[in-house]
Amino acid sequence: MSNNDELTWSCRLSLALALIAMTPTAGAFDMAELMTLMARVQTSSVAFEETKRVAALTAPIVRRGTLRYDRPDHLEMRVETPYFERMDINGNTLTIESKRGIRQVDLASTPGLAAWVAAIRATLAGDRPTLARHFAFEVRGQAARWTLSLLPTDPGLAQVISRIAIDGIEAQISRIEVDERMGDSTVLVVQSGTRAK
Amino acid sequence: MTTPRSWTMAGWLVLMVAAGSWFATALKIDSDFAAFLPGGQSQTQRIFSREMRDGVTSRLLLIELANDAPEKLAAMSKGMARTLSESPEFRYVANGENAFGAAELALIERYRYQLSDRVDAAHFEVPQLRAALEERLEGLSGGGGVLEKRWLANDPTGETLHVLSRIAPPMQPKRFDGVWFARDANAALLIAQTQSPGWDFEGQKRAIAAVERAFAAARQDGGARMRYSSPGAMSVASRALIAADVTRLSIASIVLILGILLWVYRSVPVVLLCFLPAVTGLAVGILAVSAWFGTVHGITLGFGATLLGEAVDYPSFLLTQLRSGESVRAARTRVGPTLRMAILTTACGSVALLFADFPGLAQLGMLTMVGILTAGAMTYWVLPLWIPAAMVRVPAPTKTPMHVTHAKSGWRVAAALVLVVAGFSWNRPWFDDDVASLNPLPAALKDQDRELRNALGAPDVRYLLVVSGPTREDVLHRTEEMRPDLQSLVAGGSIRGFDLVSDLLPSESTQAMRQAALPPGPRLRANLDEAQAGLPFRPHTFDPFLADVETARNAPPLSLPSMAGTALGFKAESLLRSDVGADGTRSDGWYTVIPLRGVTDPAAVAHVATAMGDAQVRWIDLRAESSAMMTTFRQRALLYSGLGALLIFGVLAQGLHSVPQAVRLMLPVLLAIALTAGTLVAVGSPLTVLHLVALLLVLGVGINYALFIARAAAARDDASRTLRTLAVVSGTTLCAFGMLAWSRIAVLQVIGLTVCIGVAFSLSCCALLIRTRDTA
Repeated sequence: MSNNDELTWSCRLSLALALIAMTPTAGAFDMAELMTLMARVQTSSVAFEETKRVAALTAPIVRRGTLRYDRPDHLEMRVETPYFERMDINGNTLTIESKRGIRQVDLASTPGLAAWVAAIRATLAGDRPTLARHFAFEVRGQAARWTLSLLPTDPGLAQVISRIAIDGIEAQISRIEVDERMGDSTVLVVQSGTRAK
Repeated sequence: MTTPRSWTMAGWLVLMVAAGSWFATALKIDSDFAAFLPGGQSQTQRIFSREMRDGVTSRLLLIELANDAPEKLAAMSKGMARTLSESPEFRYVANGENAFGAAELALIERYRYQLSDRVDAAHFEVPQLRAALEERLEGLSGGGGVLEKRWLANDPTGETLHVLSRIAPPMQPKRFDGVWFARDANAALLIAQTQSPGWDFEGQKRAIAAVERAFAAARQDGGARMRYSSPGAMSVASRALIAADVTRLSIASIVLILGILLWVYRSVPVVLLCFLPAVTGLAVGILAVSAWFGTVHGITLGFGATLLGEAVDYPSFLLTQLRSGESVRAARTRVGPTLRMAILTTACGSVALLFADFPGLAQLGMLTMVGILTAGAMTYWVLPLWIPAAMVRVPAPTKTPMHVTHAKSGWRVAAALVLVVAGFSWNRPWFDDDVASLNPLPAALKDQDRELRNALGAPDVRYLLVVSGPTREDVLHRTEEMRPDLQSLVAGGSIRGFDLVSDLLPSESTQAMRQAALPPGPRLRANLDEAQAGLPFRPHTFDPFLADVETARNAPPLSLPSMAGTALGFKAESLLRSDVGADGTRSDGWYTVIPLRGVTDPAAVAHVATAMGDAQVRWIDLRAESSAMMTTFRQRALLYSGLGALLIFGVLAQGLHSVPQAVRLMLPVLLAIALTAGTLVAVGSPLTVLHLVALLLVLGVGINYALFIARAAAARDDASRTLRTLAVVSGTTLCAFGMLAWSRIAVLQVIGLTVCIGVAFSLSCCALLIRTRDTA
């Protein structure tokens, strides 16, 4: 009987230990899962409001526009106010269109810029190897509400940017914050009501 | 007891030991090809040869890494750039990582108001400042905002970026992982500027060795391959090629010559003694040249050894004439006058070269003259002492007497030959002065150079625009004025780009003008305050700008010393140079070279250069210029060879005591030379300087043949012996130069072929045409 009891207790104990061990794994949301989640999105188009805080300026700069992504590597940022500007990234070519004219930049020639583009585009694409090439990353939260922190490892980008944090709900990015070394920051908030497809 | 034999041997040994120790310790071999350029050059030619020797393009080494994954190639490129930039062999290395390092950026930032062509009186007025500030504000909010901030506070008008965009080559290769890659992204590209000038063979060799080591270290055990090219690397490669071929072919020809001589003399010591005069002549010749000129040029050595090939024949002229049982001394007495004349004619033929105003030609003349005289003296006085008659067992000559043709039929055959050769060479180019045809490199290496140059957008090596003037300031000022014209050439597509030294280092007057245009502190502050009104910049944001402008107003001008040690300083120094006078030392002015990239319409550039209508601006086509120099060189060589031929004629007339007899001897040889030249032209190998050197040798051996044939014709009993003599000497010459004709290298092939054809024509012309007074 005492033998039975002992057996029961040990069973219970091991079960309890197993449960304790399993809990974090079962409930956690990791990079692999986030990437799988994001990889399902074919195309998305959202409206955003961007707030830039620059030490040299008395007031923040607020810009509004739309951000569009098409799998696998097309990203377009269209700013409507206060100045028109369109940044179109297709493959390795960045086209900047403003009232000053159209300029084309080869991303492969400018590593800093390439890393900055990778932060957003590779996250949207669920492209973990590209993110890993430019950043050290960490995911926190649940699928329902996650935060991806990216710390640049590329020396060119690390000189100016200290951290990029991307918040999301399921496969939808809701907020991007870019912190610069000099203290300036840019926060891009996705307006609700627009969805990924 | 001392005999003449033992003291000559002792003397010879002492001489050889002295020569050997001199060669080992004090002999300086010079590889600077300027020795083969004329002394009295025009300023254009001086600048040209200087740029070819140690100009900026002569130092550029282009490197390509391929055959591995792009990430690995990029890492290799970075590794090699680090290693090479620490190597003392290189001034700088660029692979696209940082177009400009921190030192260069700091220099540009510091002198931006003196460097920027936008700085004028209006540039800091309220409307211009307002526009600049609005542009900054827009830039800050836009995509490139992060980059704009670096210079916002101290440079709101963006002068640093403007200057950078002007001096950074606009045509850069693509980049991957931050380093240059070729268009199709499978090869990484680097440029390195060597410390040693392009002409410095040893320095270039060290630089290439450093590149190979750096590559081996960076590659580790991957499968990557490297290709590189530069004028220096190409000369190292061509030397290696020539050396390999010369070694291979000389071993083969020495074996053949030894075989012939052994077959004739049946005695190893005699055969070895036959080589002594030529070897001694070469050694003494080199001693004389290096004592007189201080150095011996590599090319002189090569050509001189060729011309001294004739001396190998001298002992044969003596030994093959031996009658059975006759001592060598007795034979010498008999053949002496002819042999003496054979030696003296050749020596006189090269005396004329001594007076040439090309140091290289003069060296060649001295080496040949001293060498031939020494070899002749050895054969004439020393060999008869050293070779006892018993040692030489020449096989009895065949009894068939020399076939004697009738004078008339001889001339008829010769005339027919002349007609045939003239018919085939009619209307073909006679001379080829393109330096490229002397270039021993295979076409593949030249194509590789062109490929790498295009991929890197490196300056064209063929065309140069040169601006000269009495002072540095003057040259800089004139260069500044040329910018609009050059820009219109770029716009019109005639060239892809250009480098102006005045963009790096404006003239002092221009710098002073820009400084004078900078407003004093209070006025700039007032202008800025007004321009800033209503814009969201914090007060005092631009205080660093005000301070920098105030500093710049009173700053000393940017000068070469203040740029020293930076990549910009190296670049400015290599572009802006003090002219060297005709005597090589006196400095009588300055000049700058404007390297041009991607020249597609040279005529348009030449037109712009001449349209400027002043002697200060010159358009140099290196190829045309070097061809013109080759033409001068060729004409001088021809002139001095002609003078040499006259001297030979004089010696012959004196020695034979008869002018008509000298004409009869000389004419067949000159005819043979004309036929040789005609044949070469007819087979599509127009004459170069190398052909001329080879023909000079043909003249020497031809006269020898003529002398011995004439001697035989005069004394019938020697006819069969002379036939044997001619068979041996022409056989050895044909062997030695026939081997060269097999070379893969055009330079050697040309010499070999010319001498072989020349020997054949000399023999036949002399045999056909030479008569003595008795038989004529």
